[in-house]
Amino acid sequence: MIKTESLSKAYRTDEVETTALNGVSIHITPGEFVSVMGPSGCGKSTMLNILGLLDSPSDGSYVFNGTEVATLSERQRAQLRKGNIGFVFQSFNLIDELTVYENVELPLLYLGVSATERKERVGAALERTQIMHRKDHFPQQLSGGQQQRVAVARAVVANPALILADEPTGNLDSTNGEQVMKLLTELNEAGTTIVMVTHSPADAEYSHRTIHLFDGHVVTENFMSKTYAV
Amino acid sequence: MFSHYLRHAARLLAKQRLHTGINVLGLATALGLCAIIAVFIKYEHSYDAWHENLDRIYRVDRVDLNPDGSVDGHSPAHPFQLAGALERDHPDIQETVRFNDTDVVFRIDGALHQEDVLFADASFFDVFTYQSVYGDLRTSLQDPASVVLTESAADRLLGPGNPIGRSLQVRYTDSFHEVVVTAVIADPLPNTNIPFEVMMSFERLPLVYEWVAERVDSWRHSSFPVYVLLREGANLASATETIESLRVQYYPDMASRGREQGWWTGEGEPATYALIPLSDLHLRSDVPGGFVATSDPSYSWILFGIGLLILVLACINFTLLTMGKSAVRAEEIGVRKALGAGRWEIMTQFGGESLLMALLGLAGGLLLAGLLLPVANSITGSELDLLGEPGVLVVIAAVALLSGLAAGSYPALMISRHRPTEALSGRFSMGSSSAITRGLLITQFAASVALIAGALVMQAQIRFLQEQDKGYDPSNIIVVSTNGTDEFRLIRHLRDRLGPQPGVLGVSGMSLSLNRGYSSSVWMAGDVERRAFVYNVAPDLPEFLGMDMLSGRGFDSARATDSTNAVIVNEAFARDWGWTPEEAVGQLVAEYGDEPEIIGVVRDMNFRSLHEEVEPMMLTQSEGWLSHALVRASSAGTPQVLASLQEAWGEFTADAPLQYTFLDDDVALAYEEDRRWARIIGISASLAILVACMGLFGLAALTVSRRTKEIGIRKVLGASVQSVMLLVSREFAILVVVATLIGAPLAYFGLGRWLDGFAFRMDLAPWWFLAAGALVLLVAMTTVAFHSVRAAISDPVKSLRYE
Ligand SMILES: Nc1ncnc2c1ncn2[C@@H]1O[C@H](COP(=O)(O)OP(=O)(O)OP(=O)(O)O)[C@@H](O)[C@H]1O
Ligand SMILES: [Mg+2]
Repeated sequence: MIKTESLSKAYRTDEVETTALNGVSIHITPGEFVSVMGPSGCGKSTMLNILGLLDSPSDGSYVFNGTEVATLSERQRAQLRKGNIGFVFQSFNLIDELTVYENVELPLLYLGVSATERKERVGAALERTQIMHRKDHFPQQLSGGQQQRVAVARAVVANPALILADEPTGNLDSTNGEQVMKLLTELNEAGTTIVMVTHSPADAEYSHRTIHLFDGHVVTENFMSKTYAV
Repeated sequence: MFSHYLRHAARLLAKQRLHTGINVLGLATALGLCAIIAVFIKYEHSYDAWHENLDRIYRVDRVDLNPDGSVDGHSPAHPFQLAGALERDHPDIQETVRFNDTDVVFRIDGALHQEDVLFADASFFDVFTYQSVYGDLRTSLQDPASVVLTESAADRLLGPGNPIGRSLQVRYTDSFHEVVVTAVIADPLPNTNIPFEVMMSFERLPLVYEWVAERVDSWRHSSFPVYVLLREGANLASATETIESLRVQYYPDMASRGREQGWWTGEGEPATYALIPLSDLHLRSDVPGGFVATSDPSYSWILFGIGLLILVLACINFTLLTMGKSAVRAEEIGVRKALGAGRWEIMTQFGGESLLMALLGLAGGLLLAGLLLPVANSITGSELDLLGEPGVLVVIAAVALLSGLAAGSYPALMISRHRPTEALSGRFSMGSSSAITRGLLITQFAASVALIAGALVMQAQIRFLQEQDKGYDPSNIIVVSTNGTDEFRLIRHLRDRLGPQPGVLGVSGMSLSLNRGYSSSVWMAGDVERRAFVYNVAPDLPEFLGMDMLSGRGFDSARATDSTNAVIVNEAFARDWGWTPEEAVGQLVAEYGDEPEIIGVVRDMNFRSLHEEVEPMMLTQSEGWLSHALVRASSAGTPQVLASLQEAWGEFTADAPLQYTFLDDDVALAYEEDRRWARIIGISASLAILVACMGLFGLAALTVSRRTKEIGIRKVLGASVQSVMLLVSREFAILVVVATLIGAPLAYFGLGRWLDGFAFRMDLAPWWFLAAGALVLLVAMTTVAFHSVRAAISDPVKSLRYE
């Protein structure tokens, strides 16, 4: 599903050039649940953004679902992103002026899904994340845990094959964090590939393997004791 | 999708109240003003537009030429016989209409009413289009004793109901005659060159007015405007050619006699005829008006420019604030992109929000225009109607949407361009520091400075004009129209009755109040054309008005010749004849009447508008009429004097109503147009700076909120309240200074050109422009201060935590 070869990313500002990623080669197969760890500033978010087609690498190759995407334009990446990739962010990033329902509906709107089907799928996603009873609330009226569950619902509503989560539990207490991790595990068990950045070894426990990044390099890949089917 | 955007936008606008308020209010102000201006311009351009024959109706003008062939001036007044001659001799002319307008006193059920009556030929209703309410218009003026009223005049004078056949008493000189109402027309639109409420038959004029009867056969006296209806399919160029040749036919030896006598040196004729299209007349500032003044079309366009400018200011606000606000929305945009929105979707969304804002602005603008229309009407002296102009409303709606698109498209373009990761990390900002923002702000302030300088200078020039020493004292003088009564008896009566009263300083009389009509004479003295404004006056008028006698003496009632053959002239007159004031005394005015003797010379007085140089003037006692009695009151005594005047008038006559004006007001009439424009520019300038400041207010709010953390840190580190305020204000202050440097020279050139239209003009001191700049700076700093003070006195810990 994901195969990168010597992926690099450099940020150029006026004077300095920061190398955020430096020759990252990873391979993630469909159905995997991979966590990415590493010290702050080592390039985890940068990598996730590139994997999620939100950003383009400066160098290297990235094959997503069999397509070389490293050289695609922003417009082509956006097209590919639609419906294929779901995102969960550390700070939830729900849109304040939209209700829970409308937030979750958004990806379907951009996909051009019909109204009746939207209703069905949003309902299903909300049920799945157990936030249906709050569907007409605005984000500010929800707790952090509830907000992240909405974000997860929004990430899965379009049935993407891949979900990318950048520190999904970073802003949550341990109970709420656990709930979100359970949700992600369920999704993974239902077949969704998940790549998750985390600082918490406990969260990483939920995944099949952990990629350790340091200073833009992959240092080790630990396989969890749990086995997984390829 | 649409309803999703709409819901989101509506909630967003409601949430960002300040932002929305400023944008909507700014747009509403601009659009409201534009709507009014558009209606005004439409009004100005549709004078007489309703006449079915409009494209065939022309006014006949006599065009006086200079020897080199250039135009010296137009005159719309013609001999009594011209219309008939044209109808006979000009194949393209189908109909002619002669006019005259005169004040007439009616007696209706014992009460007296003075009305401005338009006399017109019976062909009037064939040429011009009016709606009959009662009676047949085609025959309504055929009887010389007929009168046609507008519906409102009929209501006012005769009460409601059908008045056809009612007879009214009309006073001519000393007796009353009977006229009969033959038709009532629906009130015509107010924007016409030929306004009237009461119309009577032109045929009646020579029957009742001696001065008309005397001129019926004369080709030398020109008194009556003539309008013509060309035949269908007639060609203007050939019709003009024909009428020019008819001029030579009617005045065959003008040029040769002029050359013989030496007053004409040109190759061609000294005068010709021209056809002025009725549809152009109102905006032809180069020709005299119809029965109302023409207006200078450049003022329409200046107003249009100001409206556009304010619209641009509002759009600039819109753009700046939207860009400033976009930083706050970076995260949202990032999320939307991550969830599948392409650039186009983001642009549509932001464009839609701008359109929504524009629609709100449009609604507000139309509301505002509706509220302000009565004010606009009182200032411009017109009767504008917003709802009667669906075309204008459509245009304004289109302008609103276009402004929304124009102002919203740049931010939409910029916002949608960012990569989702940049947006998500909040790394992009389109703050107030960019060059575009600064440029736009400077444009706003420069425009404000220019408009304010304009308003200040225009007010100052008008004050300058009014404070000019006019050479006489017009204060507290009541000008009483004799209203056709015996003038000498009236003046004597007022002298006897009012003279002894404590509040009365004097009683006198003259033929014309200043600025209410002129009487000028042009005659040949030897081979030189002489020209003078002639006022017939009571003997004591020079002292009464406080004129300075430079040489000679005033009129002396004891000397018999003074009342028959003596004149007092002004300096300009003496200068024109090549005399010093001393030399002038004792000279005869050659070839004028019975060659009166100049007995005195007064200092030049500005008896006309100060737009013009003082022209030669003659005061005579011999030219028959006085038509106005003048009463000078002490400044405190005016109310009592008016009361006694009322009483004295009642004793004097029951045949005419008392009518008076104040000389001050009559003098000020000359500056009416200037004062009106000064007010319009003043109001526009205020609106412009209001809109600019609303934008500034919003921007300052954004700046402060963006810099909250910085300000907090600085304060923790010991910055004082003043230094924090300076930090916030400095950047804006610099922009205002730069704007002043740009706006002031622009205003300087514009105002210089405006002032060139005055013979007496103030100097354009630089400090006017500094004052305008300072004013804008003050207003801008006050606006910013609201936010900077709040930031400066707020608890630093709070601002740090907030971030
Ligand atoms: N837009 C950017 N411009 C310049 N430098 C950037 C940009 N984004 C990231 N960087 C730099 O790239 C490096 C990697 O950043 P990244 O956000 O991927 O780290 P991270 O591993 O996610 O850290 P954290 O755990 O703190 O989230 C950092 O040194 C960061 O300063
Ligand atoms: Mg990160």
